[in-house]
Amino acid sequence: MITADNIGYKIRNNIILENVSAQIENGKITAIIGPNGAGKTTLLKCLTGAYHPNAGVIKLDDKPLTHYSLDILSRKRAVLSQSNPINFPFTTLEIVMMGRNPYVKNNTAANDMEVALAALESVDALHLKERIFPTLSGGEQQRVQLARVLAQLWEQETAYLFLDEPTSALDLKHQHQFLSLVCQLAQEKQFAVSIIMHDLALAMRYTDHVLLLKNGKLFAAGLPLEVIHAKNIENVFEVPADFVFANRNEKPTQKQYL
Amino acid sequence: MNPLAKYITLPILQVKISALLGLALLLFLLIVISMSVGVFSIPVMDLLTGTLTQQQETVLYSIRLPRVLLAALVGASLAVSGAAMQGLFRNPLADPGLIGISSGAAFAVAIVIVLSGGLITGLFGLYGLSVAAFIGGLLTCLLIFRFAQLTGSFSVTYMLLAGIALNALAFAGTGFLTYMSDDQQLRTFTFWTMGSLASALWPSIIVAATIILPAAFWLSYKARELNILLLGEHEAQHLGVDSERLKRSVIICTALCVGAAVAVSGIIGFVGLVVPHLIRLTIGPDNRLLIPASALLGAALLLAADSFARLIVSPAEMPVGILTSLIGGPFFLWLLVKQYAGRFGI
Repeated sequence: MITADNIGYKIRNNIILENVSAQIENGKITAIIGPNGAGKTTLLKCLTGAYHPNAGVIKLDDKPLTHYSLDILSRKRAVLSQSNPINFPFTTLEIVMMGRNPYVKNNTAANDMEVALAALESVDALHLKERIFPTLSGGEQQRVQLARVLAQLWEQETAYLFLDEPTSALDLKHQHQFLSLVCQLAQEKQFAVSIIMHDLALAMRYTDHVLLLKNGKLFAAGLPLEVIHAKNIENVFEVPADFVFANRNEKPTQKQYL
Repeated sequence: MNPLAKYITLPILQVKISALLGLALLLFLLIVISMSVGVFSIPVMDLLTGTLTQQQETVLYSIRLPRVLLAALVGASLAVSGAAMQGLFRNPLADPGLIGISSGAAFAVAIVIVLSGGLITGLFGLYGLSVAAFIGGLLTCLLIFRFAQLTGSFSVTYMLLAGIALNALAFAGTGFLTYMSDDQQLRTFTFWTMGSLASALWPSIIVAATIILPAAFWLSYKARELNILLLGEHEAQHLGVDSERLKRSVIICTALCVGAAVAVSGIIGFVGLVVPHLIRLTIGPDNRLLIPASALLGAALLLAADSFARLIVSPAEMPVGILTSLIGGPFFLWLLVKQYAGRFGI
């Protein structure tokens, strides 16, 4: 479990995050939602250890995050950031193989290759394996990067997965395919998954816990149904909202369509 | 049959290793040819059989061999530092000459020459010059890196613009020192700004080798981590690579390579840009092969250019820097056009 206790982050005098407390639990999918500039990515980067908060502590399994070595962390958590262009003509398979870097000292090349191929298959991108990465389309690149991140934690259990808008460039089919895969990892391998997302319907359907941010503060946290409702949405996103259910006779339950 | 057999890239690996062997062979051939050609020619057959006259031996050991070795060392050094710099800046347009690291190093050398009154000679003096060039190169490299990250994330535009500004400053400084200098110093300066291997003597080879070889080996040792760094600094960190430390050691090793090369041969441009590009086009972008292959091709290329520079205006000779710029300039333009075409699918 990762816990953030009253963390704050500021650049010079600009407050990006203030008094945010959150828990990322194993076996659950946590959605981080909020308007642009609410501090979602900053919160995610603090939780991964990429940024060091100016105030508060982040603990991984009751030990401060800063006490872990990069080496140990690289086998416990994987992170997918928003697009990061790669200017060199690596093949897709080479990119995914980079995800196996944490195991380079004690694994055979053939085993890593097996994992990389399986990871590519899991995001429906095995057919791209020999393609030159920079020539792929945005959605294809995103799937390959997802495969890289999955390959990093392939044989791990109770690991942490952080995804910053992982489905932003994916088509409808691949969005659902990917989020189902993530659900499966949470259920079967007790992964703790944190996802920044803008699609509230997807958040409603696939996540177990929602953190709603506004202006760098935690506006609401809890079960999707407790957080994502008309009043909160109008308040935070400043757009009128209402529920429409896929099955009109059914009462809203956990993981329903919005 | 192993279900993975169809995926295993062994044949590709073999192709890549044979490419390295091919480059090594090319380098060896060029070394032999370069030792043979020049104003005083030594037939290849005599070289290989070892039947040399007294005169041939003198030319070979005190003039030809040091020059050949220095050309190979400097070429390898520039190509390796180009490859490493492109990895560090995560951009294929980085080149120690282009972004001002070489001119920063040359400026530092110019300062030392003027302050010492031109008294720099021998092994000790050469190390002094190398240290000065290293510091000049290191400072420029750090400055460029800072400027490139001025906007928060890394910007190629800022890298190139800062490179232009620092290049101009270094040239102004060197120009001022040239203006101030006496005839003897003037000759040495002019020499440098054009880049030449004509001063090759055994001491410069010892200096260059003891600095360049360890730094180049360290960079190829770090090649796997440099690959990961191409994913992004945070990404590399998430994959267990200490990117801050990696960046620091790459900057220091590149500054050492460039500094040593500049101290013994002046500014020789474009080798660091052209060579890694050719390797990427043929063998691929994997730094584990790119760095050693660049070393071999860089050595071969500068050796060929230097032999050519010795021959075309014989018995005088042309500074090799002019020749590399003559080839490198159009190549760079072609690269820009090609990148543009690639981006817009033309």
